[in-house]
Amino acid sequence: MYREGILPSGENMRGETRGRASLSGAMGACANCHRRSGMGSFEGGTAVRPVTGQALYRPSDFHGSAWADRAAPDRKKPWPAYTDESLARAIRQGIDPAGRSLDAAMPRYSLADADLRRLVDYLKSLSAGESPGVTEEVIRFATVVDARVGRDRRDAMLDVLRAFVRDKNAGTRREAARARAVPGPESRKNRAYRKWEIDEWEVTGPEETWGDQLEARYRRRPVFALIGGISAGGWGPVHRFCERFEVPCFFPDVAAPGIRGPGHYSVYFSRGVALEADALAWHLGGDPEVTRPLEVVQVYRDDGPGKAAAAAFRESLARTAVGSVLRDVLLPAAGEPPARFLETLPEGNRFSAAVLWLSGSDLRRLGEPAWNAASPRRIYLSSTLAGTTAASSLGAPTERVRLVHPFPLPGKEGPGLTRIRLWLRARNVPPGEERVQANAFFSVTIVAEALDRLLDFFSREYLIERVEHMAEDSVTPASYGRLSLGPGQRFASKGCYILRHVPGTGELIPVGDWIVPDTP
Amino acid sequence: MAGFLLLPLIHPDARSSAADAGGGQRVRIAEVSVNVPDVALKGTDGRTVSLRAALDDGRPVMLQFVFTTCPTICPLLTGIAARTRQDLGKERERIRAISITIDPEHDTPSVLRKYAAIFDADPDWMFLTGSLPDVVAVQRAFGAYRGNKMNHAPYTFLRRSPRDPWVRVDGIVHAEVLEREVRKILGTP
Ligand code: HEC
Repeated sequence: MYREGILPSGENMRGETRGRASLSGAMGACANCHRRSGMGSFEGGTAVRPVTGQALYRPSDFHGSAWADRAAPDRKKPWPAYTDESLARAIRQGIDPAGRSLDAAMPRYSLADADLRRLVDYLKSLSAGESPGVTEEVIRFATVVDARVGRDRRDAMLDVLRAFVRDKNAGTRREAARARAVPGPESRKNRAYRKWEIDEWEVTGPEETWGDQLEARYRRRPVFALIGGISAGGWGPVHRFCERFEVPCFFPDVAAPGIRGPGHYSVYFSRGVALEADALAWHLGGDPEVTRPLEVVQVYRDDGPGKAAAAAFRESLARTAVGSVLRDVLLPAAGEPPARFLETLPEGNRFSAAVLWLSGSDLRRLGEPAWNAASPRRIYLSSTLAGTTAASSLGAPTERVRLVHPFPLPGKEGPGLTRIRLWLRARNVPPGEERVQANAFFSVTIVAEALDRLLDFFSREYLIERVEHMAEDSVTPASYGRLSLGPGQRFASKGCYILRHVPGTGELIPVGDWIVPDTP
Repeated sequence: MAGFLLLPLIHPDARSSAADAGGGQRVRIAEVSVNVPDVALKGTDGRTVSLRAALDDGRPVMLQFVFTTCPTICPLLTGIAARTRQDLGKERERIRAISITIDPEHDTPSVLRKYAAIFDADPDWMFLTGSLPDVVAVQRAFGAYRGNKMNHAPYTFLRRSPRDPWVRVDGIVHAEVLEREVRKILGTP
């Protein structure tokens, strides 16, 4: 009832506001407004009050959340604690314990007694459990590191996280002392301070075994949430671990989340190469320079990102009905790609486009296959996998090469990168893989900012809700352009550019506008 | 009910009045002047729609800004618009309704199509999306841009014809109040 708006009988729960808007099913679910945490929200001038048992069964001056005291104008004066009876009246008739009408946004629900009792019990249980990973002194996080990730990228992420934690803990020692010295509600903010620890969880071996490794680590020493994380392949096992143990995971640096739809606990920068694939199919549908029918060869590695990109592209291309993938060339997950292998394909020169879901080093090893003949007219590369400089090492005429680029335009990255360079230098962190550093910095900063809003109310659901709300306002640099989330949204960056080279210069410029593919 | 001051920052020339929406809830109604930018948006079928042409199709128009993952305000705004259109019966064909998403990168045509279906939107009710800069420009023109989408204001805009001023209804109103304003515009009691 609370989360989905479905009655125990299986029917839709239905509520009606005083304004006669009728909301049924998911739209009328309490969680839609009061959120899964039960902590409510503040949206466009409407304060949706917390409805956790903890908040309701106390007089209303309990500062259950940052906006608890921003009540509707005619409810400015405090009201007594709810009882089971007055709570039933609030839900059915919209009357608070002081006899006043609730804000017009709160629907009235005519629920049967038994359903109402279950709902009230549920409210009492909301966000009432303990918070794994949080003790009186410490809040513990972890970051997942795939052992296959190269030193450069791995260190880039870990250096940033470690420096952030050092900084943070140096600043919070005093608050902890102050909290113990000054009791009472005023010190609630002080009491919220915890020493931060971020455990580094390295996962090794086949991805199928990661789930067990994560579980063992978690059972030994639980964490409140995962921050960042980095993988050279897939991420599915981490995603599933988080859903299962209800551990939030914020902004891992992965090329392929490797999941069909969003879950609840993992929040990503983007859909990764699957987004690139969709954007490319979308673009090809509208590119008049591409010969029709469009016949594509795509080359990819037998690994997480390769398979995710190729599958998404195949599906998307079929949906846009502009062409088809004529041939998939699957390279083994590891080892050198066979030299000049493109030339040996039976279709020879028939391809109108080649899509290479390959890394920069793979592209360099491809040699110079059929690039100098007339076909394929277009060669598409992934900026996530190959970087922006790999095109030149391909040996193909650069006027044929296009880059699928889910980042800001080269040279238009904004002041963010400068800011992070300064931050790193001030903390003696050596400069490294810039995208990785920027992403790690974004992850850890937004979690810290969101955690500040929780005060000493350590609810994972509430943390996710705060991050959803704040992502859009964040000025912290990440390698992506504009990031934005909303309730239930789990991918913050949603589009791509297609770039081409300006002949004779190394410059990359966009072909057309920022593409946001519409993937039903 | 006491009168209401509008935020002069938003629309210095706004003439305002307040009405009791019942249950002590106040609705602020104001005339606002809007210079609609000439942008091309997209409908739920993915086709391009000129916003100016959509607004000036010869009929009165009712416009809201919403987004589909919006927890509280948009389901109510949209729900009240839906209820109003239901209550208008056949007459709703005389007024075009337009809902523009303020979260266009998430609310693609297919996402808006599903949202419209939840509210049983009739054929004269369009849901539009577009590029982020265009959608921001439209919100600015209506004095409805608030940066973070979670801070958006619960406005419904009404206009009889391109020669008439826009009327801004501010608040999560009663369907009856909205219907009354719509009937004023339609000139039917
Ligand atoms: C469309 C949004 C919406 C939905 C859906 C909704 N609520 Fe509310 N609810 C509100 C708002 C807004 C308030 C604050 C009213 C006020 O402060 O006057 C509120 C207040 C309340 C209160 C009173 C809190 C207090 O401190 O006095 C309770 C209890 C409550 N809601 C329970 C529920 C339950 C249970 C459900 C689901 C069956 C639900 N609400 C669904 C918007 C909603």
